[in-house]
This record gives sequence, C-alpha cells and structure tokens, in this order.
Amino acid sequence: MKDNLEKYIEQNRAGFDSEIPNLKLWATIEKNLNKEVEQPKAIQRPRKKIWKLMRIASAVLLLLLAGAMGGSYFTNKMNQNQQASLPLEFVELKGFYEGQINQGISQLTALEYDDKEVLTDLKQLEEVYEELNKELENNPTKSKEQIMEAMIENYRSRAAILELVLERIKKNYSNDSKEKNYGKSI
Amino acid sequence: MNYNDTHREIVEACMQGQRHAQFELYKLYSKAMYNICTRMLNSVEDAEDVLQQSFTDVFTKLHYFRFDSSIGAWIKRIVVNNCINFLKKKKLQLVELQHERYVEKTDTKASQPVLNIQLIQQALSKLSDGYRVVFSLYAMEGYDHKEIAEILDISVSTSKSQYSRAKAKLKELILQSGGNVVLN
Repeated sequence: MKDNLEKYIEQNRAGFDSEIPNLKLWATIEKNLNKEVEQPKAIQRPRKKIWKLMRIASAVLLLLLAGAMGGSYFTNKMNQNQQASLPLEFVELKGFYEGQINQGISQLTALEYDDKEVLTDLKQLEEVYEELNKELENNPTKSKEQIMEAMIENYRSRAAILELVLERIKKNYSNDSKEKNYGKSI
Repeated sequence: MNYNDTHREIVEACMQGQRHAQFELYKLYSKAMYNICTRMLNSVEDAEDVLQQSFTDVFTKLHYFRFDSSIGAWIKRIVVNNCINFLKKKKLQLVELQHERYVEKTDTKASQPVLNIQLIQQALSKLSDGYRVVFSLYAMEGYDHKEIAEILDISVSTSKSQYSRAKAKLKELILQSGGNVVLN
C-alpha cells in the first residue's frame, strides 16, 4: 500500500527532475571519448567496413600469390620433395581453422543462407587458398614461409566472415522470435 | 510497443561511434540522469563528475548492450552504479547501522496539509546518505527491493527496513519544515 507521500511523489514524478545539467558537461564527455576511441575501434566498426577490409585482404593475397608464382618461375622447381616436412605450428593452425570453417559452413548450409555477396567472397578466398596450396607444394624453401603466412591469413579471413555472418543471423533470429512472442501476447 | 527498441536507430549509430548520434542520446537522457545524480549524491559538483563519467561509460560499453532492456533502463543502471561507487569511494556509510531515533510530531496545527515538490526535495537533501539513496532508488527511480538489494549488495529485508526508516525520517523532516504529511 502506498501512503500519501509515495502517492504524491508518483503523481508529481516529473516535477522532481527540475535540475538542468550544464551544457559544458558534454565537452568533457566528448574529450573522454576521443581519448578512448583508439582502442575499441575494431569492435565498433560497421559491417560494411569489415567487408571492405576483407576484400582488400583478398587483393593483397592475390598480389602475394602473383609474386610467389613469379618467384617460382625464375627459381625453377628445384626441390620437389621439399614439402615433406611442414612446421608443426602451421599444421596445427591449419587443422584448427579447417575445423572452424567447416563447422561454420555446415551451419550456414543448415540455415539455408543465400547471400550471394558473402558466398562469393568466401568462394574467392577459397580459390586463392587452393592456389596458395598448390604453390606451397612445388615451391623452393625460401618463399615457403610467406606462402604459409598467407594461407593462415586466408583461413583467418574466412573464419572471421563466417563468424560475423552467423552472429548476424543469430541476432536477426532472436529479434524475429521476440517479435513473434510479442505478437502472441496481444 | 516494444520498449526495448526505443531509439534503436540512434543507439545503433552510437555503437558505430557516430558522434552526432551520441550527442542525440546524451540530449535525450542527460537531464533525467543528472537529476538522479544530484538526488543520490546531494552535490552539484559530484553529480556533474558522475554524469560525465557515466556517459563516457555508456558510449564505450555500448557494444555490450543487447536490446534486452530499454536503453533508458540500461543507462540508468550505469548511472546508479556509478553513484553508488562514488559514495563508496568517499567511504560514506550506505546503510545506517543504528536505528535513528526520531519522534513523530503529532499534528498539533491541524492546518491545511502542505506538501510540495520543493519541500520534499529539501527534506530529502537533509537525509543521511544511506537513507537518501535507498529512498531515491525505491520511491523515485522505481527499483524494487530485490533490485536495490542487488545494487547495494545488501539483503532484501535490509532494503525494506532501511526504506521504511528513511521514509519515516523524511516525513519527520517535512513536518519540521512546515509541511504536512498525512501518515497513511
């Protein structure tokens, strides 16, 4: 049970917010935000920017590939049996990302995902990867490291795209179901 | 209407770090939040400091906001928490240990009941920090005792007893300054 005092406050609640903050306060907040802006940038970037970055990444990979191919042309395929021992770290990373990517792809397939732009991006990255893989197989030791780096980078890009897309789908899905629930409650 | 989606567009623009959207959100909520600060902290300077810190927190932590409550409630919770932390840092006692003795004046004048906002605000500012905070959270900000218990890290029954003591003290102060509160 509310007493008179509580009732009075409730009925006149807006009147209690009579103080007005000084306008200069925003300036300090803005200054603080400018200081903080460097760090959380990556999290706050809009989606489109990330796609753009991904494209740039694939372009860079293509260039790297072209360079590697040129290199291999001039050095001649000297050591065919070089591939026998790849560094353990690389093999492990490869296994990790392959697992992640396969899992992501099967999730997308299950959700009947059909955004052409995204799927094309993924396909292109995969093609670049295959080229890199071929290159690694018949390449001299010198540029091997570079190729492996590019391959891991390629895996990373694909895993990041998948993660982003799945996150977006989940978010949309939960919003949809919220709306549906709400609809029912009316 | 789904309140969780209130100002969704502005919030999403803020999440992308758009300064004009941040200012929009600030304009929408700064007044209400400033008043919470002044009530909780009982000082204009402290209220200004905490308000600035709170909105800085709001914009740097906004990527944690998932639209599962209204943005207003989310900002308010940050503001309230910052006020509590501020008071704790000042090592002020948030919960009264002793039951303060107060004498309820019987209504001798029996004159016209007087109760206005200013009178309540003045009385509120005379309350001790512990009473003022609990009273503000419950009667002004609409938190229930379970939520207050969580915010202040006390038990629900402590929150309830603190609140009723705070209310009684407040009524006493209102009576002393010429106001009249008909006690139930």
